[in-house]
Amino acid sequence: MDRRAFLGVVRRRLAGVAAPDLPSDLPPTFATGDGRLFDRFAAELEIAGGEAIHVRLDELSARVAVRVAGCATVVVAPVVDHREAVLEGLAHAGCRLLEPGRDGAARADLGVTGAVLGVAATGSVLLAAAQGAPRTVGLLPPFHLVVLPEDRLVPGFEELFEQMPALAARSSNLVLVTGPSRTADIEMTLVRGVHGPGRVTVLVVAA
Amino acid sequence: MRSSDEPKTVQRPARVSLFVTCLVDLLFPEVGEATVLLLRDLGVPVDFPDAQTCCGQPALNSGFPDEARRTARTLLDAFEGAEAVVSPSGSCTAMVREHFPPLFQGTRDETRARDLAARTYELSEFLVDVLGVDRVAGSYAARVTYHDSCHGLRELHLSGQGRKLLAGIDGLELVEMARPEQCCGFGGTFSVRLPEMATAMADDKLEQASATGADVLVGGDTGCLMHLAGRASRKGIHLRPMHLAVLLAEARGLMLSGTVR
Amino acid sequence: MRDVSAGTFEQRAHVGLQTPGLAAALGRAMDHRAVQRTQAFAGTDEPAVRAAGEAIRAHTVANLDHYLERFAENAATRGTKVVFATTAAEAVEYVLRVLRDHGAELVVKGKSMVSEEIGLNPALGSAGVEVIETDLGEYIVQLAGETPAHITTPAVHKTRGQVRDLFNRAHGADLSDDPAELTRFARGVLREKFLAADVGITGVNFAVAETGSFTIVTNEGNARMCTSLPRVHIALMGMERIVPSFRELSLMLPLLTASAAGLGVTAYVTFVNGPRQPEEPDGPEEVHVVVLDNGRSAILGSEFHSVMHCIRCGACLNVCPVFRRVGGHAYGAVYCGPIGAVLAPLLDGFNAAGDLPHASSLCVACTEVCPVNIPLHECLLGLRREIARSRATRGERFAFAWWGRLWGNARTYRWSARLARIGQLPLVRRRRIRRAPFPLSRWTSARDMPALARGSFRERWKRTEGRGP
Repeated sequence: MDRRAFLGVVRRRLAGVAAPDLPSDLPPTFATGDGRLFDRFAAELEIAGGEAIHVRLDELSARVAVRVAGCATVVVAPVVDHREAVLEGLAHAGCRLLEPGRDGAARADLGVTGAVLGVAATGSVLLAAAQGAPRTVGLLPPFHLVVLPEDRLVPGFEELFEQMPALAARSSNLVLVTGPSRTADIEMTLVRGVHGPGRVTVLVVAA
Repeated sequence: MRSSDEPKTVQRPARVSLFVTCLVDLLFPEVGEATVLLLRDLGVPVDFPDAQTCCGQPALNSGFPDEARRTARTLLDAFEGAEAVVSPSGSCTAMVREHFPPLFQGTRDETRARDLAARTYELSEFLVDVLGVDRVAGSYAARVTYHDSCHGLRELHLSGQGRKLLAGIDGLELVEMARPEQCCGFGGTFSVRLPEMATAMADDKLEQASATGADVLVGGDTGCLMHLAGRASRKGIHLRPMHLAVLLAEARGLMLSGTVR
Repeated sequence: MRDVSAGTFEQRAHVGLQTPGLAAALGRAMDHRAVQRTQAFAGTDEPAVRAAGEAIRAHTVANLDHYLERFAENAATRGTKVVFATTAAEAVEYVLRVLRDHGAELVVKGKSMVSEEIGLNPALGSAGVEVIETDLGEYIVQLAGETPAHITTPAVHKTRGQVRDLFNRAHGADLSDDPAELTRFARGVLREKFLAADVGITGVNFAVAETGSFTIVTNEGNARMCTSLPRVHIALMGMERIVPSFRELSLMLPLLTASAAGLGVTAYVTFVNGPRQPEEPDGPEEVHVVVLDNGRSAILGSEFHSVMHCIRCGACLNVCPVFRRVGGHAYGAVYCGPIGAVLAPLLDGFNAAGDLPHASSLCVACTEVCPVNIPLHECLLGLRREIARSRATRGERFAFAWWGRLWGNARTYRWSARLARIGQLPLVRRRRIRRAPFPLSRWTSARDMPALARGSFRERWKRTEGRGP
């Protein structure tokens, strides 16, 4: 268990092993941005089984009301962009607000959160644990609604990971969420909604 | 008799030495004969340095590199001074090209091994890439499916030369099986170390081949073909595994039913 | 120390070959994976991406002590407890200690091959702790009392009917075999466990030295649960599973998910940076990382060093023609498929796993597909050599020694062929041999053999030599 002894063994075994440099340029992957933002974000999220909707601020509450129709109970993270408009929409739809803690989230039909940023190349949103951002709100309910200002979309993984050290310093837990929870463990048959939400909608609010 | 298109000259060697392989020498000599006939038909002189025995792959694959070197050395001796070496086997060619250099590294044959590796070709790649053969004029009426033997495909990076050679043959219909690149289960010593597994893999390959309705299963390695033919024969499957060289030679009228005319 | 699986690969493979439906299930999964993988790399320069992945892994592993030290230091500043376990026993002991300290009775687990390696579940069971596997495939395998049959899809060998039966038996339910219904049911059962668990245990896909963070990728969300709901989170990490900084993740993550043949990135990539911060409303109070050696250090600097670059994507399994027929259980080791055939002898020793490098036809499909370009087939060849040195039978040594002598020159080669041609006569019927004594019987039991040709090529050449140019 001794760290020094452990690393000493490793160091001795590595003596004489050539160490190439890290590559200075990384070639593009499927997660590399191509300059497009919302259009790509929406297309990729759709492939992953979620949906992204472009929304003007003045229509946000109406859009929320439409999207959450049928959800009787909801938990809303204390910190959500355009919180008033969101709450207005939920009220119109007749959703009852529960306390945004573990119990509320476990019972709610819907969880509403913000997001730190969105990644266009993969249709992902980044959630950060923080004051006013309980982890359970976007995790336990079967339907996850995300409100994301459009100017927080980044093209791809290069931009995401540039920001990561600073984001990681501020938060104990970050999750990159790409669409609904899924599995193909039974006969390679795709099933959505395993442990996490089975339905993910991102409202991208125009700047 | 020549191909209807003159081969484009790409560093065409003045003479070629045949690396026949022990399997072909002892079990399928017609494959060696077909190889010689095809090369001569294209105007390439061929010799056969008979000091060669075996590339040593069975011993190397079983974990006996010393023994592998003993027989492999006969190739270094036989092909010393040869301009180009051609073999009707992807697997044996890969042994020379990919495995001879590390096998002989640190021995007095290190340089010879590297030199030989640089001059050794599998037959279909030699015909297409070195001699520039675009098309083989000939006729062979059959539905044929192709098996990509593993070492040719993945160690020599053969990329369709065999199919290209078949493409121009009158009456030959090439149909692809579902997974032509999947291993047939021969694997040299694997076929007797894990016979049940090897046989199951052969059955999978034969099933795929039969599903194409093909009469002939063509490949570039007699090991694979022997394994598949042996299983087909035991199960009464009507599929004729054939080596590419023999099929081409028959298509050109140089051979009939595997016998030199 | 894990139990050695009984028997040889050949015996276990026999069971697999005789299992109806297994090859079909595996084949279906692998064909699907092949399509997904092609799509995932489409539009990118696959060789360039893999070369970059290889360089990142080679650099990192060659400097492993440095990066592990940085990781531990940076993690500590965030409140994460990092311990280094040289042996499986040390790792298990530490986990048990943490559980005891917290009076933990219920543990929820994400998928972790390292936990299989150290035999964690049986140890927890013996200590009276209830352990629930939460990855759906692992949960299925746990109910069946089996070990995982694949590195990333543990229940690939199970049909929907078998899963239905498992769930119905275990929970007294009456479910159909519809995967969606079965999954919904599992969601409900496991949800209760997540909410009640004292401790969450996960694996680690990549630790990040720069910040002391680590990532866990899942599609199901069970890692989010395990790292967010229980009071304590313990992460088990093979010591080589690390990147220098987040920058490398921008390539390694897509490389991992593309090779594991998911479509795009996984549904969730969880980044654990430490235990909950004071102002955060939820999250674990404690985060522990157990960094495991368990034989890995002996591989560093050896002929097989490159195998430490493995990122456990499972791509090699998905193309292996042997794995395709029999699945993971035939390997009788924690790690199966081509990577397992190399790792198991190195980690578990030649007595336990010495026949695995021969469980391969050396078709090279694994090397062809490895995202970090590990020359797996060369590792298999090298291991065969090492294994022959210490474990070849006298018969085999004798046979190859004599083969080398007889075929070491053309004259004795020719004579041995002539003798064999005479010797085969009693066996030949119509130019074929259908039955032969051992060892040829291993061929002729299921296949015909051609007889040695009447005239060898060299004999025919000699006869017609005058003909040539």
